[in-house]
Amino acid sequence: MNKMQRILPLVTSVVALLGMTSLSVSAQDVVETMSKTGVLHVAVQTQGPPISFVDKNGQRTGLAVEIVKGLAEASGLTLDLLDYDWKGLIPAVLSKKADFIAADMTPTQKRALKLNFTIPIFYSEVLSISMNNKGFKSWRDLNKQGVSIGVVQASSYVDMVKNFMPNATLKEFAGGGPSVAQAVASGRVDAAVMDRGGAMQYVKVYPGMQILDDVIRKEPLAFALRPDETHLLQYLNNYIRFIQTDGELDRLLAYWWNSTAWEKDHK
Amino acid sequence: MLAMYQNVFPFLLQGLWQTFVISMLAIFFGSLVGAFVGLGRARGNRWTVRGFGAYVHMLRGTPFLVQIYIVYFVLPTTNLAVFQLTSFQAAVIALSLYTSTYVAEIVSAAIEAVPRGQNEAAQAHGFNGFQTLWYVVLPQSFKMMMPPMGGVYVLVIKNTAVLSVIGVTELVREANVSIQRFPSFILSVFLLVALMYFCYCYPVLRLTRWAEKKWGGLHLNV
Repeated sequence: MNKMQRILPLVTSVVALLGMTSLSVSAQDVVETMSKTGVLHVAVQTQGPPISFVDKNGQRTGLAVEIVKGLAEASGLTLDLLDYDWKGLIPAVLSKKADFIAADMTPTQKRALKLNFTIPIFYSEVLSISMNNKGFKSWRDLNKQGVSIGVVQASSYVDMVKNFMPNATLKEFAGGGPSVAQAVASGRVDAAVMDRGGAMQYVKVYPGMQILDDVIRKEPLAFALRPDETHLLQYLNNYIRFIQTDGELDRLLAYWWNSTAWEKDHK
Repeated sequence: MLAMYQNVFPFLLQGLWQTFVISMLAIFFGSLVGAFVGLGRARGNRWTVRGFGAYVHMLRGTPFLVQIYIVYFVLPTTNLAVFQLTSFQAAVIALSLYTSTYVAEIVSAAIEAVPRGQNEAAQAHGFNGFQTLWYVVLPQSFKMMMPPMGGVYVLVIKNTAVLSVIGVTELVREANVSIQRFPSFILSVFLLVALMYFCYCYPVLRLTRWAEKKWGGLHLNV
Protein backbone atom coordinates (compact mmCIF):
# COMPACT_ATOMS: atom_id res chain seq x y z
CA MET A 1 0.00 0.00 0.00
CA ASN A 2 2.89 2.37 0.78
CA LYS A 3 4.25 1.80 -2.68
CA MET A 4 0.91 2.63 -4.21
CA GLN A 5 0.55 5.75 -2.12
CA ARG A 6 3.88 6.92 -3.43
CA ILE A 7 2.96 6.15 -7.02
CA LEU A 8 -0.58 7.54 -7.03
CA PRO A 9 0.34 11.24 -6.75
CA LEU A 10 2.77 10.66 -9.62
CA VAL A 11 0.05 9.16 -11.80
CA THR A 12 -2.33 11.94 -10.84
CA SER A 13 0.20 14.56 -11.84
CA VAL A 14 0.87 12.79 -15.14
CA VAL A 15 -2.87 12.79 -15.77
CA ALA A 16 -3.05 16.47 -14.86
CA LEU A 17 -0.07 17.33 -17.03
CA LEU A 18 -1.39 15.48 -20.06
CA GLY A 19 -4.81 16.96 -19.45
CA MET A 20 -3.38 20.46 -19.56
CA THR A 21 -1.27 19.92 -22.66
CA SER A 22 -4.21 18.50 -24.56
CA LEU A 23 -6.31 21.45 -23.46
CA SER A 24 -4.01 23.89 -25.15
CA VAL A 25 -4.70 22.00 -28.37
CA SER A 26 -8.47 21.96 -28.16
CA ALA A 27 -9.79 24.50 -25.70
CA GLN A 28 -13.51 23.89 -25.71
CA ASP A 29 -15.94 25.15 -23.14
CA VAL A 30 -17.40 22.13 -21.40
CA VAL A 31 -20.76 23.84 -20.87
CA GLU A 32 -20.99 24.38 -24.61
CA THR A 33 -20.19 20.70 -25.19
CA MET A 34 -22.83 19.74 -22.63
CA SER A 35 -25.52 21.79 -24.31
CA LYS A 36 -24.55 20.35 -27.69
CA THR A 37 -24.51 16.70 -26.63
CA GLY A 38 -27.31 17.13 -24.09
CA VAL A 39 -25.46 15.03 -21.51
CA LEU A 40 -24.07 16.01 -18.12
CA HIS A 41 -21.28 13.66 -16.91
CA VAL A 42 -20.94 13.70 -13.16
CA ALA A 43 -18.50 11.70 -11.03
CA VAL A 44 -19.97 10.46 -7.77
CA GLN A 45 -18.72 8.27 -4.99
CA THR A 46 -20.83 5.76 -3.14
CA GLN A 47 -19.67 6.91 0.27
CA GLY A 48 -22.93 6.10 1.94
CA PRO A 49 -26.26 7.51 3.04
CA PRO A 50 -27.43 10.18 3.30
CA ILE A 51 -25.05 11.84 0.79
CA SER A 52 -24.69 9.29 -1.99
CA PHE A 53 -25.63 5.61 -2.05
CA VAL A 54 -27.54 2.88 -3.87
CA ASP A 55 -30.92 2.31 -2.25
CA LYS A 56 -32.88 -0.92 -1.70
CA ASN A 57 -34.27 -0.74 -5.25
CA GLY A 58 -30.82 -0.44 -6.79
CA GLN A 59 -31.36 3.26 -7.53
CA ARG A 60 -28.53 5.72 -6.99
CA THR A 61 -29.73 8.46 -4.65
CA GLY A 62 -28.78 10.66 -1.69
CA LEU A 63 -28.47 14.38 -1.05
CA ALA A 64 -25.61 15.07 -3.51
CA VAL A 65 -27.19 12.89 -6.21
CA GLU A 66 -30.61 14.53 -5.84
CA ILE A 67 -29.07 18.01 -6.15
CA VAL A 68 -27.39 16.96 -9.39
CA LYS A 69 -30.61 15.37 -10.66
CA GLY A 70 -32.36 18.69 -10.04
CA LEU A 71 -29.60 20.53 -11.90
CA ALA A 72 -29.89 18.23 -14.93
CA GLU A 73 -33.65 18.59 -14.96
CA ALA A 74 -33.53 22.38 -14.68
CA SER A 75 -31.02 22.51 -17.56
CA GLY A 76 -32.89 20.03 -19.73
CA LEU A 77 -29.88 17.69 -19.83
CA THR A 78 -29.60 13.93 -19.47
CA LEU A 79 -27.64 12.93 -16.39
CA ASP A 80 -24.81 10.42 -16.71
CA LEU A 81 -23.63 9.40 -13.25
CA LEU A 82 -20.17 7.81 -13.13
CA ASP A 83 -19.44 5.94 -9.95
CA TYR A 84 -15.82 5.90 -8.79
CA ASP A 85 -13.87 4.86 -5.79
CA TRP A 86 -12.58 7.81 -3.72
CA LYS A 87 -9.13 7.43 -5.33
CA GLY A 88 -10.64 7.66 -8.81
CA LEU A 89 -12.64 10.88 -8.32
CA ILE A 90 -9.99 13.55 -8.92
CA PRO A 91 -8.32 11.71 -11.85
CA ALA A 92 -11.78 11.28 -13.40
CA VAL A 93 -12.42 14.99 -13.50
CA LEU A 94 -8.85 15.95 -14.48
CA SER A 95 -8.85 13.47 -17.37
CA LYS A 96 -12.25 14.84 -18.52
CA LYS A 97 -14.11 11.58 -18.01
CA ALA A 98 -16.46 13.61 -15.86
CA ASP A 99 -17.44 17.30 -15.97
CA PHE A 100 -17.41 17.70 -12.20
CA ILE A 101 -17.39 15.79 -8.91
CA ALA A 102 -20.52 15.66 -6.78
CA ALA A 103 -19.27 14.01 -3.61
CA ASP A 104 -18.86 15.12 -0.03
CA MET A 105 -15.52 16.67 -0.85
CA THR A 106 -14.32 19.37 1.51
CA PRO A 107 -12.76 22.29 -0.37
CA THR A 108 -9.48 22.22 1.53
CA GLN A 109 -6.75 24.64 0.59
CA LYS A 110 -4.52 21.80 -0.62
CA ARG A 111 -7.23 20.45 -2.94
CA ALA A 112 -7.95 23.96 -4.17
CA LEU A 113 -4.42 24.05 -5.56
CA LYS A 114 -5.48 21.43 -8.11
CA LEU A 115 -9.23 21.94 -8.42
CA ASN A 116 -11.90 24.59 -8.63
CA PHE A 117 -14.68 24.44 -6.05
CA THR A 118 -18.21 25.80 -6.21
CA ILE A 119 -19.58 27.96 -3.40
CA PRO A 120 -20.39 25.76 -0.37
CA ILE A 121 -23.69 23.94 -0.78
CA PHE A 122 -24.15 23.18 2.87
CA TYR A 123 -22.13 22.65 6.04
CA SER A 124 -21.60 19.29 7.63
CA GLU A 125 -20.70 18.87 11.26
CA VAL A 126 -17.70 16.75 12.15
CA LEU A 127 -18.16 14.65 15.27
CA SER A 128 -16.50 11.82 17.11
CA ILE A 129 -17.93 8.46 18.16
CA SER A 130 -16.80 5.84 20.65
CA MET A 131 -18.17 2.95 22.68
CA ASN A 132 -19.91 3.85 26.00
CA ASN A 133 -17.53 1.79 28.12
CA LYS A 134 -14.49 3.81 27.03
CA GLY A 135 -15.56 6.62 29.36
CA PHE A 136 -15.14 9.54 26.96
CA LYS A 137 -17.58 12.46 27.24
CA SER A 138 -16.45 14.97 24.63
CA TRP A 139 -14.03 14.83 21.70
CA ARG A 140 -11.67 16.88 23.88
CA ASP A 141 -11.14 13.78 26.05
CA LEU A 142 -9.61 12.02 23.03
CA ASN A 143 -6.56 14.26 22.88
CA LYS A 144 -4.43 12.01 25.09
CA GLN A 145 -1.42 9.79 24.70
CA GLY A 146 -2.45 6.18 24.10
CA VAL A 147 -5.87 6.97 22.59
CA SER A 148 -6.26 5.74 19.01
CA ILE A 149 -8.61 7.45 16.57
CA GLY A 150 -9.83 5.94 13.31
CA VAL A 151 -10.69 7.93 10.16
CA VAL A 152 -11.31 7.20 6.47
CA GLN A 153 -8.05 7.10 4.53
CA ALA A 154 -7.05 10.34 2.77
CA SER A 155 -10.13 12.16 4.08
CA SER A 156 -10.05 15.70 5.45
CA TYR A 157 -10.46 14.17 8.93
CA VAL A 158 -6.81 13.10 8.82
CA ASP A 159 -5.63 16.70 9.14
CA MET A 160 -8.39 17.43 11.61
CA VAL A 161 -7.21 14.74 14.02
CA LYS A 162 -3.61 15.91 13.62
CA ASN A 163 -4.60 19.51 14.37
CA PHE A 164 -7.21 19.10 17.09
CA MET A 165 -6.00 15.91 18.80
CA PRO A 166 -2.22 15.93 18.31
CA ASN A 167 -1.53 13.66 21.29
CA ALA A 168 -3.73 10.81 20.08
CA THR A 169 -2.64 8.12 17.61
CA LEU A 170 -4.20 8.36 14.15
CA LYS A 171 -5.26 5.24 12.24
CA GLU A 172 -6.45 5.44 8.63
CA PHE A 173 -8.81 2.87 7.12
CA ALA A 174 -9.57 2.23 3.46
CA GLY A 175 -13.09 1.04 2.65
CA GLY A 176 -15.11 4.00 3.84
CA GLY A 177 -17.16 4.79 6.93
CA PRO A 178 -18.46 1.27 7.60
CA SER A 179 -14.95 -0.11 8.16
CA VAL A 180 -14.11 2.76 10.52
CA ALA A 181 -17.32 2.13 12.51
CA GLN A 182 -16.52 -1.59 12.58
CA ALA A 183 -13.04 -0.77 13.94
CA VAL A 184 -14.63 1.23 16.78
CA ALA A 185 -17.18 -1.50 17.56
CA SER A 186 -14.55 -4.24 17.63
CA GLY A 187 -12.19 -2.18 19.80
CA ARG A 188 -9.46 -1.81 17.18
CA VAL A 189 -9.56 1.93 17.82
CA ASP A 190 -10.86 3.87 20.83
CA ALA A 191 -12.83 6.41 18.81
CA ALA A 192 -13.45 7.69 15.29
CA VAL A 193 -13.96 11.06 13.62
CA MET A 194 -16.64 11.41 10.92
CA ASP A 195 -19.53 13.58 9.76
CA ARG A 196 -22.91 13.69 11.48
CA GLY A 197 -24.65 11.75 8.70
CA GLY A 198 -22.43 8.72 9.11
CA ALA A 199 -22.26 8.92 12.91
CA MET A 200 -26.06 8.90 13.23
CA GLN A 201 -26.22 5.76 11.10
CA TYR A 202 -23.65 3.83 13.08
CA VAL A 203 -24.85 4.61 16.62
CA LYS A 204 -28.22 3.25 15.55
CA VAL A 205 -26.94 -0.15 14.43
CA TYR A 206 -24.11 -0.78 16.91
CA PRO A 207 -25.39 -1.18 20.48
CA GLY A 208 -23.24 0.70 22.98
CA MET A 209 -21.89 3.18 20.45
CA GLN A 210 -22.35 6.88 21.15
CA ILE A 211 -21.74 10.28 19.62
CA LEU A 212 -19.41 12.31 21.86
CA ASP A 213 -20.34 15.84 22.94
CA ASP A 214 -19.34 18.98 21.04
CA VAL A 215 -18.90 19.48 17.33
CA ILE A 216 -15.23 19.38 16.36
CA ARG A 217 -15.69 21.66 13.38
CA LYS A 218 -18.14 22.61 10.69
CA GLU A 219 -17.02 21.76 7.19
CA PRO A 220 -18.28 23.27 3.96
CA LEU A 221 -19.13 20.81 1.18
CA ALA A 222 -18.84 21.81 -2.44
CA PHE A 223 -18.67 20.35 -5.94
CA ALA A 224 -15.24 20.14 -7.60
CA LEU A 225 -14.24 20.80 -11.20
CA ARG A 226 -11.18 21.40 -13.39
CA PRO A 227 -9.39 24.66 -12.57
CA ASP A 228 -9.86 26.20 -16.00
CA GLU A 229 -13.62 25.68 -16.37
CA THR A 230 -14.87 29.15 -15.47
CA HIS A 231 -18.14 28.90 -17.35
CA LEU A 232 -18.98 25.60 -15.67
CA LEU A 233 -18.15 27.12 -12.28
CA GLN A 234 -20.57 29.99 -12.90
CA TYR A 235 -23.18 27.57 -14.18
CA LEU A 236 -22.96 25.43 -11.03
CA ASN A 237 -22.78 28.40 -8.63
CA ASN A 238 -25.80 29.86 -10.34
CA TYR A 239 -27.83 26.73 -9.64
CA ILE A 240 -26.65 26.49 -6.02
CA ARG A 241 -27.63 30.12 -5.33
CA PHE A 242 -30.95 29.47 -7.00
CA ILE A 243 -31.91 26.47 -4.85
CA GLN A 244 -30.60 28.22 -1.74
CA THR A 245 -33.09 31.01 -2.26
CA ASP A 246 -36.15 29.20 -3.61
CA GLY A 247 -36.36 26.74 -0.72
CA GLU A 248 -35.43 23.61 -2.69
CA LEU A 249 -32.16 23.11 -0.82
CA ASP A 250 -33.92 23.51 2.55
CA ARG A 251 -36.44 20.88 1.50
CA LEU A 252 -33.66 18.48 0.46
CA LEU A 253 -31.68 19.11 3.65
CA ALA A 254 -34.77 18.55 5.81
CA TYR A 255 -35.40 15.21 4.13
CA TRP A 256 -31.83 13.88 3.81
CA TRP A 257 -29.64 15.61 6.35
CA ASN A 258 -31.57 16.93 9.35
CA SER A 259 -33.89 13.95 9.76
CA THR A 260 -34.07 10.26 8.96
CA ALA A 261 -37.17 10.69 6.77
CA TRP A 262 -35.32 9.16 3.80
CA GLU A 263 -34.85 5.85 5.62
CA LYS A 264 -38.35 4.49 5.12
CA ASP A 265 -38.28 5.24 1.38
CA HIS A 266 -34.78 4.10 0.56
CA LYS A 267 -33.24 1.89 3.21
CA MET B 1 -29.95 -11.03 9.32
CA LEU B 2 -32.01 -13.01 6.81
CA ALA B 3 -33.62 -9.82 5.54
CA MET B 4 -30.16 -8.35 5.06
CA TYR B 5 -29.02 -11.36 3.01
CA GLN B 6 -32.20 -11.28 0.94
CA ASN B 7 -31.60 -7.62 0.21
CA VAL B 8 -27.88 -7.84 -0.47
CA PHE B 9 -27.65 -11.15 -2.35
CA PRO B 10 -29.07 -10.04 -5.74
CA PHE B 11 -26.64 -7.09 -5.79
CA LEU B 12 -23.69 -9.35 -5.00
CA LEU B 13 -24.74 -11.79 -7.72
CA GLN B 14 -24.76 -8.91 -10.17
CA GLY B 15 -21.25 -8.02 -9.05
CA LEU B 16 -20.10 -11.63 -9.36
CA TRP B 17 -21.45 -11.71 -12.91
CA GLN B 18 -19.48 -8.58 -13.79
CA THR B 19 -16.34 -10.10 -12.20
CA PHE B 20 -16.97 -13.32 -14.16
CA VAL B 21 -17.44 -11.61 -17.54
CA ILE B 22 -14.41 -9.32 -17.22
CA SER B 23 -12.08 -12.02 -15.91
CA MET B 24 -13.17 -14.56 -18.55
CA LEU B 25 -12.63 -12.06 -21.37
CA ALA B 26 -9.23 -11.11 -19.90
CA ILE B 27 -8.24 -14.77 -19.56
CA PHE B 28 -9.27 -15.46 -23.16
CA PHE B 29 -7.59 -12.47 -24.80
CA GLY B 30 -4.66 -12.54 -22.37
CA SER B 31 -3.96 -16.19 -23.19
CA LEU B 32 -4.11 -15.55 -26.94
CA VAL B 33 -1.77 -12.56 -26.81
CA GLY B 34 0.40 -14.26 -24.19
CA ALA B 35 0.84 -17.42 -26.29
CA PHE B 36 1.92 -15.29 -29.23
CA VAL B 37 4.34 -13.20 -27.14
CA GLY B 38 5.71 -16.29 -25.39
CA LEU B 39 6.33 -18.01 -28.70
CA GLY B 40 8.11 -14.92 -29.99
CA ARG B 41 10.23 -14.80 -26.84
CA ALA B 42 11.27 -18.45 -27.10
CA ARG B 43 11.53 -18.96 -30.84
CA GLY B 44 11.72 -15.53 -32.45
CA ASN B 45 14.63 -13.59 -33.85
CA ARG B 46 16.77 -11.14 -31.89
CA TRP B 47 14.27 -8.30 -32.31
CA THR B 48 11.13 -10.14 -31.28
CA VAL B 49 12.96 -11.56 -28.26
CA ARG B 50 14.03 -8.07 -27.18
CA GLY B 51 10.79 -6.31 -28.09
CA PHE B 52 8.52 -8.83 -26.38
CA GLY B 53 10.99 -8.99 -23.48
CA ALA B 54 10.59 -5.25 -22.94
CA TYR B 55 6.80 -5.60 -23.13
CA VAL B 56 6.72 -8.40 -20.56
CA HIS B 57 9.10 -6.73 -18.13
CA MET B 58 7.46 -3.34 -18.37
CA LEU B 59 4.03 -4.73 -17.50
CA ARG B 60 5.26 -7.15 -14.85
CA GLY B 61 7.41 -4.51 -13.25
CA THR B 62 4.61 -2.02 -12.61
CA PRO B 63 1.60 -2.35 -10.28
CA PHE B 64 -1.67 -3.33 -11.94
CA LEU B 65 -3.42 -0.39 -10.26
CA VAL B 66 -1.11 2.03 -12.08
CA GLN B 67 -1.72 0.23 -15.38
CA ILE B 68 -5.49 0.64 -15.17
CA TYR B 69 -5.04 4.28 -14.23
CA ILE B 70 -2.96 4.79 -17.36
CA VAL B 71 -5.34 2.92 -19.69
CA TYR B 72 -8.45 4.64 -18.36
CA PHE B 73 -7.31 8.12 -17.29
CA VAL B 74 -4.06 8.93 -19.10
CA LEU B 75 -4.54 7.51 -22.61
CA PRO B 76 -7.81 9.44 -23.28
CA THR B 77 -5.99 12.74 -22.71
CA THR B 78 -4.19 12.13 -26.02
CA ASN B 79 -7.59 12.96 -27.55
CA LEU B 80 -7.30 10.02 -29.95
CA ALA B 81 -10.70 8.47 -30.59
CA VAL B 82 -9.37 4.93 -30.17
CA PHE B 83 -8.43 5.62 -26.53
CA GLN B 84 -11.85 6.99 -25.49
CA LEU B 85 -12.66 3.80 -23.62
CA THR B 86 -15.56 3.03 -21.31
CA SER B 87 -14.79 1.61 -17.87
CA PHE B 88 -15.66 -1.89 -19.05
CA GLN B 89 -13.47 -1.72 -22.16
CA ALA B 90 -10.55 -0.25 -20.23
CA ALA B 91 -10.90 -2.96 -17.58
CA VAL B 92 -10.86 -5.79 -20.13
CA ILE B 93 -7.93 -4.32 -22.06
CA ALA B 94 -5.79 -3.59 -19.00
CA LEU B 95 -6.48 -6.96 -17.42
CA SER B 96 -5.83 -8.79 -20.72
CA LEU B 97 -2.45 -7.10 -21.12
CA TYR B 98 -1.60 -7.95 -17.54
CA THR B 99 -2.64 -11.59 -18.06
CA SER B 100 -0.72 -11.84 -21.32
CA THR B 101 2.63 -11.09 -19.68
CA TYR B 102 2.25 -13.91 -17.16
CA VAL B 103 1.01 -16.34 -19.80
CA ALA B 104 3.91 -15.33 -22.08
CA GLU B 105 6.49 -16.15 -19.42
CA ILE B 106 4.90 -19.55 -18.79
CA VAL B 107 4.70 -20.35 -22.50
CA SER B 108 8.27 -19.34 -23.25
CA ALA B 109 9.62 -21.15 -20.19
CA ALA B 110 7.73 -24.32 -21.13
CA ILE B 111 9.10 -24.21 -24.68
CA GLU B 112 12.63 -23.65 -23.41
CA ALA B 113 12.22 -26.55 -20.99
CA VAL B 114 11.79 -29.15 -23.71
CA PRO B 115 15.20 -30.86 -23.92
CA ARG B 116 17.40 -29.76 -26.79
CA GLY B 117 17.74 -33.38 -27.92
CA GLN B 118 14.06 -33.37 -28.95
CA ASN B 119 14.76 -30.53 -31.39
CA GLU B 120 17.82 -32.17 -32.75
CA ALA B 121 16.08 -35.50 -33.21
CA ALA B 122 13.22 -33.81 -35.08
CA GLN B 123 15.64 -31.96 -37.34
CA ALA B 124 17.56 -35.18 -37.97
CA HIS B 125 14.27 -36.63 -39.25
CA GLY B 126 14.02 -33.79 -41.72
CA PHE B 127 11.41 -31.66 -39.89
CA ASN B 128 11.58 -27.96 -40.65
CA GLY B 129 11.39 -25.28 -37.91
CA PHE B 130 7.61 -25.04 -37.89
CA GLN B 131 7.10 -28.81 -37.97
CA THR B 132 9.56 -29.27 -35.09
CA LEU B 133 7.65 -26.72 -33.05
CA TRP B 134 4.16 -27.95 -33.95
CA TYR B 135 4.64 -31.72 -33.80
CA VAL B 136 7.43 -32.17 -31.28
CA VAL B 137 8.02 -29.21 -28.96
CA LEU B 138 4.54 -27.72 -28.39
CA PRO B 139 2.76 -30.98 -27.47
CA GLN B 140 5.35 -31.56 -24.78
CA SER B 141 5.54 -28.00 -23.49
CA PHE B 142 1.75 -27.74 -23.40
CA LYS B 143 1.71 -30.28 -20.58
CA MET B 144 4.12 -28.18 -18.58
CA MET B 145 2.06 -25.01 -19.05
CA MET B 146 -1.03 -26.41 -17.36
CA PRO B 147 -0.25 -26.23 -13.63
CA PRO B 148 1.14 -22.66 -13.50
CA MET B 149 -1.63 -21.43 -15.81
CA GLY B 150 -4.30 -22.27 -13.21
CA GLY B 151 -2.46 -20.11 -10.70
CA VAL B 152 -2.30 -17.18 -13.08
CA TYR B 153 -6.00 -17.41 -13.95
CA VAL B 154 -7.00 -17.34 -10.30
CA LEU B 155 -4.70 -14.34 -9.80
CA VAL B 156 -6.45 -12.57 -12.67
CA ILE B 157 -9.88 -13.28 -11.20
CA LYS B 158 -8.89 -11.86 -7.84
CA ASN B 159 -7.25 -8.81 -9.43
CA THR B 160 -10.65 -7.65 -10.73
CA ALA B 161 -11.25 -6.34 -7.19
CA VAL B 162 -9.05 -3.31 -7.98
CA LEU B 163 -11.19 -2.27 -10.96
CA SER B 164 -13.59 -0.14 -8.90
CA VAL B 165 -11.17 2.81 -9.12
CA ILE B 166 -12.16 3.23 -12.76
CA GLY B 167 -15.85 2.82 -12.05
CA VAL B 168 -16.41 -0.89 -12.69
CA THR B 169 -19.01 -2.31 -10.33
CA GLU B 170 -17.56 -5.75 -9.69
CA LEU B 171 -18.12 -8.02 -6.70
CA VAL B 172 -16.12 -6.15 -4.04
CA ARG B 173 -17.58 -2.84 -5.17
CA GLU B 174 -21.13 -4.19 -4.94
CA ALA B 175 -20.31 -5.44 -1.45
CA ASN B 176 -18.97 -2.04 -0.35
CA VAL B 177 -22.05 -0.33 -1.78
CA SER B 178 -24.43 -2.76 -0.04
CA ILE B 179 -22.64 -2.37 3.27
CA GLN B 180 -23.50 1.33 3.25
CA ARG B 181 -27.09 0.33 3.92
CA PHE B 182 -26.18 -2.37 6.49
CA PRO B 183 -23.04 -1.06 8.19
CA SER B 184 -23.14 -3.48 11.09
CA PHE B 185 -23.12 -6.53 8.78
CA ILE B 186 -19.73 -5.76 7.25
CA LEU B 187 -18.25 -9.11 8.30
CA SER B 188 -21.19 -11.21 7.10
CA VAL B 189 -21.23 -9.49 3.73
CA PHE B 190 -17.51 -9.94 3.16
CA LEU B 191 -17.74 -13.54 4.27
CA LEU B 192 -20.32 -14.05 1.56
CA VAL B 193 -18.05 -12.28 -0.93
CA ALA B 194 -15.15 -14.57 0.02
CA LEU B 195 -17.42 -17.59 -0.48
CA MET B 196 -18.45 -16.34 -3.90
CA TYR B 197 -14.83 -15.84 -4.96
CA PHE B 198 -14.04 -19.33 -3.72
CA CYS B 199 -16.96 -20.84 -5.64
CA TYR B 200 -15.57 -19.23 -8.78
CA CYS B 201 -11.83 -19.83 -8.25
CA TYR B 202 -11.92 -23.36 -6.91
CA PRO B 203 -13.44 -24.93 -10.06
CA VAL B 204 -10.83 -23.08 -12.14
CA LEU B 205 -8.07 -24.69 -10.09
CA ARG B 206 -9.81 -28.09 -10.27
CA LEU B 207 -10.14 -27.72 -14.01
CA THR B 208 -6.42 -27.15 -14.51
CA ARG B 209 -5.70 -30.04 -12.17
CA TRP B 210 -7.99 -32.23 -14.25
CA ALA B 211 -6.33 -31.08 -17.48
CA GLU B 212 -2.95 -31.73 -15.94
CA LYS B 213 -3.93 -35.30 -15.07
CA LYS B 214 -5.53 -35.90 -18.44
CA TRP B 215 -2.64 -34.59 -20.50
CA GLY B 216 0.22 -35.68 -18.33
CA GLY B 217 1.28 -32.67 -16.25
CA LEU B 218 4.91 -32.04 -15.57
CA HIS B 219 6.25 -35.47 -16.43
CA LEU B 220 7.71 -35.68 -19.88
CA ASN B 221 7.26 -38.92 -21.75
CA VAL B 222 10.80 -39.05 -23.03
